[in-house]
Amino acid sequence: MRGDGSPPTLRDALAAGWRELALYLAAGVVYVAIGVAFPEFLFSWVVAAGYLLLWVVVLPLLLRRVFRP
Amino acid sequence: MSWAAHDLEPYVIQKHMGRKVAFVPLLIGSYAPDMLSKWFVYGVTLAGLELKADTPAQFHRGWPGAGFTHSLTFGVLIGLILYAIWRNKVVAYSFVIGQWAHALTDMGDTVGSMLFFPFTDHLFAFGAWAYAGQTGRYTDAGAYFSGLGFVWDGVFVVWGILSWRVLTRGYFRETVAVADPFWNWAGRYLSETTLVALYRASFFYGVARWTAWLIWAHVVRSFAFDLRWGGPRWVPRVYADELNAAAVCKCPGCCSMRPRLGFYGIVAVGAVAKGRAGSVRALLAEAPRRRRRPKRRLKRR
Repeated sequence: MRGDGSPPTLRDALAAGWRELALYLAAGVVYVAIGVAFPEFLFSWVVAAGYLLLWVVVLPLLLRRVFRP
Repeated sequence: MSWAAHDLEPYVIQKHMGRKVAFVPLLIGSYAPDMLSKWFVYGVTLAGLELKADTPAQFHRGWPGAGFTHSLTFGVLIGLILYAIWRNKVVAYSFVIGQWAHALTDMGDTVGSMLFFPFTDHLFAFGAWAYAGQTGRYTDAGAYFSGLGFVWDGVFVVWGILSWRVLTRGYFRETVAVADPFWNWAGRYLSETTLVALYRASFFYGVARWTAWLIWAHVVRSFAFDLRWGGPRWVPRVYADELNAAAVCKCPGCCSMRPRLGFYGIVAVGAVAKGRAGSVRALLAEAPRRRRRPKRRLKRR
């Protein structure tokens, strides 16, 4: 790890956080699709931040609760 | 005006400044000029009452209007107020850097910004893409993403992606959270995953909306691309000299509106920023120089 806390190479970063990256990418693809269909959705930072929190915080939490053995 | 550039600039600055900058005031600074003015440019409807500026460009960038929010002095003033409240130099100058980045970026369109207000209300503009805020936000979006504006935003999208280190969780923990008191305070109530998502939100917003607007403008609505300087020409645009005085100005800002000068300027700045200044200097050193005539000595009689 470097002094600023980031991984030394992009490969290390991807190896450590590929699941997280996949989640963000999926959120991005759906956001773009909604935005293209309903452009009003693209105007607000607050809407975007709320949407992202739903995808990367609330959704994994719910899935973990539902599928917990 | 710029769209995604204001979302992504803070991450690029964060990459270069590390712990010397506080991210939240930097981000608020980057959004501040438009937070205070843009809603009235496009107009809003409250309880059936439509609120919109009569001359949107004048209100957004000019004087009288809210154009002072795009001046360098406004950033310094708010920075001083923040310092007076929090007694934290990093918070104060981070806001100033963010606000200055916004004001300088907005010089790219045909209206520009009143950088040195209140000393002068002159609008400094490069005129690379059309200012079309007065046409409403959908036409404005179509125009912006059909001219050089989307290229400018694209530069920040690529630059932001190349700054991927600042988006990692380790970087957030070791650098961003250490330098900015906001994250320590928020960390008392929220999990680290939530804080990291909030930290990445503007990056997500910038890249995703840049992609979505491009698709919307050229696949759904088929606006015509026009990458000429000052384009697209199909949209009614406003120029700096229509708002404030000085129709013909010889200042460097207005002179650089000429495409060639602007292009050479961007190339030179890019070369210096990338550390290739040596080769430019070498090129200039090799250029033929005018010989000076030897001074004639006066004969004494």
